[in-house]
Amino acid sequence: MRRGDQFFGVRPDAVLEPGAERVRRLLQGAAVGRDPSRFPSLSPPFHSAEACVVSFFSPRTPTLTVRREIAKGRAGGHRVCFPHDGQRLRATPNRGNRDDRLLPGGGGSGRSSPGQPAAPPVESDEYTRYELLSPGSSRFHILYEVTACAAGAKAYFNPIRKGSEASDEHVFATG
Amino acid sequence: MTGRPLPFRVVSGDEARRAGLALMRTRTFSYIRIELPRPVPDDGGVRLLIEKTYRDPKELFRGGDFLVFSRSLGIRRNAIVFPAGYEIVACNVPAQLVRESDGRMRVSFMHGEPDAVSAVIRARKLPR
Repeated sequence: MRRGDQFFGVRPDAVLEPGAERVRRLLQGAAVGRDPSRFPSLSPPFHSAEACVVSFFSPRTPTLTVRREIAKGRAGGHRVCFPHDGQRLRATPNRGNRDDRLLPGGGGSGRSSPGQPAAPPVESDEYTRYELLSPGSSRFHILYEVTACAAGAKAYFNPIRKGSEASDEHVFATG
Repeated sequence: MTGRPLPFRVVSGDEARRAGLALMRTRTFSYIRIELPRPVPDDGGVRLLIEKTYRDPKELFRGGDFLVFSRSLGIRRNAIVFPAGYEIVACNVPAQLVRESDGRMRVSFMHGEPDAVSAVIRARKLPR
């Protein structure tokens, strides 16, 4: 393996048993363990079904819990996250953590539970431009570009956040 | 079809759920339901431009002498354009600062975090 294929010493097989032990050592390693905030995200260039992203959000990372999740194979194809303090460990599909998903014909969530294969993405190539309007109005104009890519979908759902008042909506097909 | 306006309507979370959107936040969000000009083909896509205006005092507000934009951003590629006459003084994500042709300052960045980034950007009004 070339040196460039490694990332903080973690090789692509690092999430497999006994690779999980290697991940545990990384998490408990002196550099990361002392100050996880220095490494806000470890995203090795994994491409296998067992790929995962290990992210640090709190110095109090439940290392042993993660090791157990990996050992059970529940991390396969999922992102293992260390949530904020007080939240439960969770595994999310190995793709963008988005809620505004639509599956063709309905009936799907676009969000997999741990142990389930990741659902195909329903959107891609997203870009958002915010134009802040007059100060004091608390209003901003949003231009959101996205490609709906769920094969067979006839509609696309774009969320309006709770607490935000939306107005002046327009939608255009650009390609 | 470039630039063609598409029909849409705002639906409740419950209605979105009935249409097949069964997500964690479905019930608490409302949605813009957009009718696509054609079904999404296999291995293809339909590119959309969605424009809307939000009013949200919790995300855009005055804090002391600053204009503060504070928002959780799940989309990876973002640009925030401040009103004319403001300069950026703080930004908690690595970003490019670009002056638009009309003089407004734009904060542009792409984040690589697996979850949404809580971006906080402060700007202050330039003296006339």
